[in-house]
Amino acid sequence: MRILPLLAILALTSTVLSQGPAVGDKVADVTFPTLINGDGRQSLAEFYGQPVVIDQWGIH
Amino acid sequence: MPSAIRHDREFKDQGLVTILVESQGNDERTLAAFLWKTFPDNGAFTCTGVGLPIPPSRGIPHAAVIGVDGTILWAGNPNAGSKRIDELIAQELEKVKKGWGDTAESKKVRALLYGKHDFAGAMALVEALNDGDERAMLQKEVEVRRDSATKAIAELKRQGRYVRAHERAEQLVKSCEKRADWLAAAKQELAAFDSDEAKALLALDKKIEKVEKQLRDKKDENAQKGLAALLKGAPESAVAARARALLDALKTKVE
Repeated sequence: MRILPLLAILALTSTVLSQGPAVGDKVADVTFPTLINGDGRQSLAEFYGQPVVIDQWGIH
Repeated sequence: MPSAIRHDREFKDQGLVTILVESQGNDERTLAAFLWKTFPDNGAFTCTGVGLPIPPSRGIPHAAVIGVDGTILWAGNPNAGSKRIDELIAQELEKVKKGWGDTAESKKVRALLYGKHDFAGAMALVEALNDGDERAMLQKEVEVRRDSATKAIAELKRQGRYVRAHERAEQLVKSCEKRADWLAAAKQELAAFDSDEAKALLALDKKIEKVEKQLRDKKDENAQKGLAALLKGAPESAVAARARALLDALKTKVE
């Protein structure tokens, strides 16, 4: 029976980790490869102080 | 994506950063060719092949809005959430303009730094604060911002964007006006555009910008001819390399 709470905690931790970042979190940093139209700033942290809209899309 | 390009065009000058991330694994050359053919008016930061630290999605398009302080404010389908995105952009741009933070001093410093681009004025306010965490944090922000602005000039030159680099150098001088040592360094950056070589590169870049305008006006044929003519006899330089890359993008077929 003692193992049940432990399993519950593990399951909850696993769910949280698999969901990744959430609204309300501070965004983690990421380094971008070459940015077309870039100005030398290569990581998300360098845009601190400005709102950022990220848009993921595909050519095809 | 078109809405993101519109956001960039409308709000970039007020401080919005728009980053377009192609997520189907296409290479940079294909991406550049696609953009010039399909969205020639795109001025947003654009890249391919990077995982993003934003709430995950089940597909694309997918977008996220990050606030001025790095908080993830929203994530989802940009088409379904366009009204919310607009609201959040307006909310955060207001913070850029008026500043934000826990104290009146933080707000004043950030309003000058991010809203007015007045690096020297912001630093003067920081130096008037008592020693402590807040002062250290704000000082770091001012230094990072000034470093970024200086770095941008070198980076734009490296990309062959001399006209934009020159504009940034002029802006840097204005941003440093109230502080003698920073102003002297900024003026040196600007003075680098006075050499004969720099003037020639500026002139060539202005011509390329005219060609880019033709592309935005959907006059592709004229653009290719114009670029080929510009490159004839042009000495090797970052600006010439930019013209060649643009010509290459226009000739690349995107399936």
